[in-house]
Amino acid sequence: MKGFIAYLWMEIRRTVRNGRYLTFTIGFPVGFYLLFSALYGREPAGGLSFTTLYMVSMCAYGAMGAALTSNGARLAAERGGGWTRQLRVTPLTPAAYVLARMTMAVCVALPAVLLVALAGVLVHHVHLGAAAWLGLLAGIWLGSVPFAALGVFMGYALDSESAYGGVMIVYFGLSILGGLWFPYAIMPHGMQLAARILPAYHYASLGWNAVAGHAPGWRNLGILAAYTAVFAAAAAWRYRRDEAREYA
Amino acid sequence: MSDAVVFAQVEKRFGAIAALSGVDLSIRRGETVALLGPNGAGKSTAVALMLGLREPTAGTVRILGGPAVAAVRAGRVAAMLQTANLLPGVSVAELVEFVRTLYPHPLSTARALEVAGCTAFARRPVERLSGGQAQRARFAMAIAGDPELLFLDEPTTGFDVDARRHFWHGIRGFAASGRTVLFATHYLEEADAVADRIIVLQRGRVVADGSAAAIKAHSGGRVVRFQAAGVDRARCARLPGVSQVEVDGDRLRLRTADPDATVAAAYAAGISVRGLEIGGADLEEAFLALVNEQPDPKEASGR
Repeated sequence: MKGFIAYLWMEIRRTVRNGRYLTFTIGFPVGFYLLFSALYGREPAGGLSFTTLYMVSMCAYGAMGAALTSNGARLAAERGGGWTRQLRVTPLTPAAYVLARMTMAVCVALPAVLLVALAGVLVHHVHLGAAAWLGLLAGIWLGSVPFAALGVFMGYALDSESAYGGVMIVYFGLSILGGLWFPYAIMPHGMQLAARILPAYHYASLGWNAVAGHAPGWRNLGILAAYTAVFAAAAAWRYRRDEAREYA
Repeated sequence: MSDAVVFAQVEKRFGAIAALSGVDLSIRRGETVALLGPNGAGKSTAVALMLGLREPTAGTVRILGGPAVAAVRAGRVAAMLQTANLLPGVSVAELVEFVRTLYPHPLSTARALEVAGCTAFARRPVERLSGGQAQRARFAMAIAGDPELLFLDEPTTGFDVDARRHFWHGIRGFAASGRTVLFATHYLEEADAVADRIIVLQRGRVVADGSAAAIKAHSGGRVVRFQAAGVDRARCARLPGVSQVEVDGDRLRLRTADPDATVAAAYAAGISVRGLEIGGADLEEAFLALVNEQPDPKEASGR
């Protein structure tokens, strides 16, 4: 447990110092939010303003990026460079290491959520009740768990050469097909179908429901839980395969 | 108290290749032991087995009286591996501080940095270290937990002479506190200068095990040099104790187990010996003799 906390703390510190993390998980979501809300902000979108709904989308986009990219390519590079091998000759157990990495990914998703929300409040005067804020922030923050598992899976499944590109394709693909960049309502039918199958739409729906004053949808939660189980199992499978190949 | 390291009939195969075969060895606590051998002799495989990174194909490995993985998990063992990148994005001090918190009775961060000679660049991010500095940072990480048993796999690769001296000074200080140190190397002078005991590996087998002096003695022991005109090699090889003869013009160089008998017999045989010198074989000669004694299985199988 002491090792888990020490590793988690070190990983959080090195992640938030990383330029790529700052760009992808803070710079882009806040930047996109300000840009698109300036372009489309006056158009009403159902009962809620575009600036509110798009704030939720960009909270989800940033948190998902943090959860995916904080492991992904970095984990693949550390594996290739022998750092995980060095860790194996310390008392830190492999399970504590993997859990610390996943927990780190969820932790560093929080600043992304908070900063986009702050931009919404300060720039567009988004006004929500306490329950809506709590539902939005907690839902988008903790809903990033399946993407943290996916990031660990990709870190073990890809080598250091292909991991960066692979993670970016998955990240942008899931964001677009999840209705985070362009609203679900304006998507063609085929994309809407993909959105309902893939996790990102259900993830952002936790936030969209919260700001609309609805309770979280059981269907969204169930699908995210199922994806968490699938990605965690896939990560465990690749992890064991990696161990077996490296240390037979 | 149980030995630090015990190998009993250890074999490790990778597919058809035997990296180690029938290795028996035991290392007592407090010893500083060099594992010496050419590249591909099985040194790194032996270290990986001692650290529980790999499992032997056959035989048993006991570390501090139990399985290797248990000793590692209990923080009683630490290692400096040959190919292990440091974690970018943190400073040397942060990395050492993290590692020491994993162990039950660690050194202070300041002490580990000092012994390893990292104090001057402790605040530098690890990705900005020179090769030698990175190696010293690895050393600091390895000793931060103050382990009972320390493994070093080719630790001075990439060091200049000065850094090497500083490094071994740190290791001696660490070993002086009663710790067991085992290092793999192919630098003979390091094995000779630092280790109490040398285990020579060749093609996955232990071919010699003892003090540097004993190993030198084992392989023909002494060298007799002299000049004599018109003496052929076969005649010298028949002299008592001689195991090897080198002829260079009128200069002869005989490796012998009994230099007194060899020289007496040479005089008795009427060889006109001039400029006689008797010296110890150096470790390099002993090592080469040991390594060359071993038949190459590839040649034996006709490939």
